[in-house]
Amino acid sequence: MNAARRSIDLRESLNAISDVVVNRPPPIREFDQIYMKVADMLLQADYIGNLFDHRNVVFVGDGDAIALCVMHLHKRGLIERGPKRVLVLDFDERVVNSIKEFARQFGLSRIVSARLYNVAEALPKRLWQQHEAFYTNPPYGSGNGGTSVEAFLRRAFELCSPDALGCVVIADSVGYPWCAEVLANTQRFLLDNGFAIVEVLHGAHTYHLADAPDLKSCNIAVKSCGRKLQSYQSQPLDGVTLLDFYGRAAPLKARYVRDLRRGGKYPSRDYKIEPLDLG
Amino acid sequence: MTRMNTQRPSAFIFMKVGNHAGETFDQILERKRRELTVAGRIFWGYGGFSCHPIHHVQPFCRMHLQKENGIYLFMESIESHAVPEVAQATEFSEDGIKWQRIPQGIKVTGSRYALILDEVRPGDLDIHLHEYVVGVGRSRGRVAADYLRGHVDKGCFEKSPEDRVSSSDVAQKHISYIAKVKEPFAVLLRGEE
Repeated sequence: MNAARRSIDLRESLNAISDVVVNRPPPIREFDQIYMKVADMLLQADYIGNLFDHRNVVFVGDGDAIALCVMHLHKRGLIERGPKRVLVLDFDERVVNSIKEFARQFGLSRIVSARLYNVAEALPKRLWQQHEAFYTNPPYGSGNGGTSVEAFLRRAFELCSPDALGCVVIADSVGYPWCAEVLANTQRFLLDNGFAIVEVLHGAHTYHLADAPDLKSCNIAVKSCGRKLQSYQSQPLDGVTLLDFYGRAAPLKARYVRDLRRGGKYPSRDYKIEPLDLG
Repeated sequence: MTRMNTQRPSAFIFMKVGNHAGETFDQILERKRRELTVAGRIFWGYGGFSCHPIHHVQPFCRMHLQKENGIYLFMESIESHAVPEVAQATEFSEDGIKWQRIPQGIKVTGSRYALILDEVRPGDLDIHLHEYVVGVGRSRGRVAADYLRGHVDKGCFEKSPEDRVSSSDVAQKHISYIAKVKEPFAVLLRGEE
């Protein structure tokens, strides 16, 4: 399939990814926000563009800003295929505001939207089964056997129509024994919920992750299989899932991360300027 | 001050220690002893990425507290020439959500995080890091001796489920100081805006 496609303009494409990267807020380690490396973001945008061509896609969390990458590259003609529309749901208001601001700046507001949502809470009713594809790169569940992955997937299933496609990104490294357990549990969970696995792209991404710099992740592409329309029945996550959300005995306590800079409209509080004193 | 000669534990936190932020290690110890007298606990500042308070230290301590008679910090003394910034923390937080003022009498400088400790005592213990593995986080299960290569100088370790034998001296660490870790085990720090 790939051989028939035109080659990518590397300089223009990386510069487009650079537009996205400088727009992202700094990651917060306390909430396991760990960003994908730039070359992998470009390849991921190309992959997602092909997978979800002409679809209405929901991103369940997207600190990496893959949604912006794929839409920005596609609109500029740097990748051939791309989603029709994307919605990003994230519990970090800085992420939500930065997406909105980028969309406004680059003329994407009609096809890119973002809203505040924490997967711990029941899904807003009007989002129920409204999308044709999902993408999620959740906390990897190194200490919980993948229940945090399942929490994000559960919301993705609720957001998607019966004939949906999906892509879940999870850890995938031979040197980390817990990866195999999470991979097996995730595959089982996908199948149990009516999604067939159509492709696994191993070792596809690397991260700015100091305590495990060689940890990679894979793409698991899935296709709905025999799912049916259901009436709304979303519930908040249970206490046990929340307790080990970021690993064994590392609970999710935050509802939202609030943006004190209003998407960059207010100046940073990270620095102050001292006046030049010429005596 | 009593010297502690501890049995080899099934779980511990390991750090290399030395001069820091313009103070010799002896000066730091003396200041920390005064702080313990005044505030009833020690804030032991540190940085890096392998002992994050929320993702590593707190879960590790909670997991092992039930099977251990307390979790200990094992310190290996090294020659340190690091001269970090001496910015003083003014607030601390267990979870990154609720922040409190650093207690009166405690000074912690040049650090993003702090372990909460009881008395720091001289120790005399050799630990063989081939017998331990990383006990928490993404690197869980990696052999401690392998983990502590390169720039990693601290970690939360537990006894390996496998019997490992190694004649390598490199993996043997002499523990010069020991301190019991107290609730809430580790905290985030921040300074004035």
